[in-house]
Amino acid sequence: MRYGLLKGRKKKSEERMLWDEDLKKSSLENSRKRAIVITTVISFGFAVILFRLVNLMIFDHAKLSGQASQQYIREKTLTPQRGVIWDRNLKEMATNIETDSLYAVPSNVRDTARLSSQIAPIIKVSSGEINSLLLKKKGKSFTWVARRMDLEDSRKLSALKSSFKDGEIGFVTEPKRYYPMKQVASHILGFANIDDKGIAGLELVYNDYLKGEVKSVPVDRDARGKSLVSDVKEAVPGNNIILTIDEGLQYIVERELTSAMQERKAKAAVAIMMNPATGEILALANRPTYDPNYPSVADGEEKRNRAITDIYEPGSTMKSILASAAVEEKAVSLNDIFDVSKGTITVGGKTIHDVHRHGVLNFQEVIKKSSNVGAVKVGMRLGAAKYYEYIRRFGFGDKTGIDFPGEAKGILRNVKNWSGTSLACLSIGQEIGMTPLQMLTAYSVIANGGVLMKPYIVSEIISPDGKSIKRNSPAEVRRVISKSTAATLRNILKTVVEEGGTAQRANVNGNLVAGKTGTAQIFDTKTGHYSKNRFVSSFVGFAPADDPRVALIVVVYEPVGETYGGLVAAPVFKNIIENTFAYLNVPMEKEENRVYLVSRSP
Amino acid sequence: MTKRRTKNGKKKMLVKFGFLLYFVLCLFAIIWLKAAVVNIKYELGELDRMKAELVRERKMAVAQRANFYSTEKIEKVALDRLGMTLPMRENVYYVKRTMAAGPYKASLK
Repeated sequence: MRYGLLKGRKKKSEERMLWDEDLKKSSLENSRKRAIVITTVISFGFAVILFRLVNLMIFDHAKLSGQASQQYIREKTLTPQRGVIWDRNLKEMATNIETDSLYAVPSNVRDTARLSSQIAPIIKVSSGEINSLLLKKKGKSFTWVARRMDLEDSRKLSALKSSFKDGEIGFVTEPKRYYPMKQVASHILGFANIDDKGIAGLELVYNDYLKGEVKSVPVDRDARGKSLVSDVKEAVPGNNIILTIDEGLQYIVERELTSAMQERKAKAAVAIMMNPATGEILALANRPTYDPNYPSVADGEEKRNRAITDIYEPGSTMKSILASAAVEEKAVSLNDIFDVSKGTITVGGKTIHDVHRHGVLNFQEVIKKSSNVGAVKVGMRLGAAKYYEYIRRFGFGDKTGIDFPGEAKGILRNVKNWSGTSLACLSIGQEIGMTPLQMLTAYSVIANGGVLMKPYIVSEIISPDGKSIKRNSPAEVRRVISKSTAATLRNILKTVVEEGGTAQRANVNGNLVAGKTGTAQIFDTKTGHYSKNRFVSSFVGFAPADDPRVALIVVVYEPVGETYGGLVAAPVFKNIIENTFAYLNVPMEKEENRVYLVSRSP
Repeated sequence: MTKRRTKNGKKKMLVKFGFLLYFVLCLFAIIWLKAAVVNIKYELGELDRMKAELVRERKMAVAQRANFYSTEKIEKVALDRLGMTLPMRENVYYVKRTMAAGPYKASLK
């Protein structure tokens, strides 16, 4: 019985264990189910996140990355440095500096009156003007206050900047064209505007070479807008230009022209110096003039490049062209006699007078004394057709082809349209219009032995890394007269400067000069007649006469008092040539003791 | 046997912790590197600005030098400040050198 009781207890205990095991099993089963549910939920969650991530990172990548870039990448425009312009000795004639431009953020400015009164005295603009600008642009996020300030002004403003509230004003560094020689060569160089675009002169003609390449680069910036370093550092700078101009000669010409203007109280004056053998322009100056650093304050008259764009009647300087044609065509010989004792000649109903009575002159003396009557007689021997042909061959009535904007081709009527007086008038330099440059180019023909050269100002264009892009070299247009005719004319023109000639004041101490004076009445379009008191006085020539280094023309418009070319323009020519020879180290040729031979001692 | 299981569990825990630590360290290293790069970018940006300022000063100096070298300026300084005069052409003697450098004597021949 006891055994039976024990057996019963054991059975009960086994049953309980089995029951416990069942319970455990069912609990585990529940846990597993819960785990599966949780895992599924979490996996689903991760799957959703993964899906979203894939969506963001792959499918929406382009769109989102663009939006992000907009927030932290800024497009920065790199303004290229404009090319430098050098003279023939590599002196900078036009270069670049960097200046600060001041801008305001009107929407951030609370007290416009205070800001205006603080800035105004520094940038030299009335505070009322600045105030009204800020009020007008109220609500806008940007307005220029002062562009390209002086260095001193921008330093003063930078020191003041801390007294303004954050974001009221700011500075932008901008390049500015700078002409270190100021007024010197202003008509050649021209000028560039505030956006660095060439507006006049060589700056305009060669703008495409000079301007460089604008580059826009992405720059990282932080939350405060502060720029981080960018990969691309520099824009492509413009090409540099070397001129044929010599700054020293240019200054001499400008200085003498200024003094002539003051002395003669003239309306305007022009001087051009050229190497007659090559056509290189060594100097070119106009008066009145201007400073290309401040082009806006100059008026049209001051900016006018009369040397190339304005035409004038040459007067007696034309007689050398007539003489060249007559000698070349053998229409006259040096010893031919011309009776000019009457002092007048009537052709086609028009009477032409000599300024002084001369008597009988040979051909050489006709030019030396600048006899109008004698010139008309020479012209009549040559004939209209031949004279017209030579006028054209010397380059009149056509542009010289100089690399400069706005060149005038002059006025020359076709020989078919000449009137009965035309030949006589053209023989003394009337009924024809030309630029001073055309006349100088024509005289260079006589100076260099008979060849018409194309004038040029730009010698070479070189890339920023020093490679030659374009090189101008002397270009012959055509042979106009023979070498012997040119030599004959040089000898005749030498006499003009000697005693008894019309241009004794052009005589240079120590060197022979050849040239011709011109005094032309200005044609009055209102009255239809030549003015009796308005003249253009000129002298054109070259020196040393037998081996010319330079050819020079001086034209003085409407001088007051003395009007003859020999009295007004010839002294300017002399002063320029003397200074030029000193500058170029051209020895005096008349006195033998000017040049010393040096030999080594034994 | 229970002891061995406990030992294995601890080992696994250590490995897991190690991996976690390594992961965190790597994360910090990447963040530190990124921060260092940004810092260098700031420094380079600052140097860039300094360079731009120096370039600007150089341009000003070149412009000033060009202005000082102009014939007009030189003549003005020579005449007004140094009391010099322009030489007369008669007073200028040009010397033609016909031989190599050495002791020379001048002759009027």
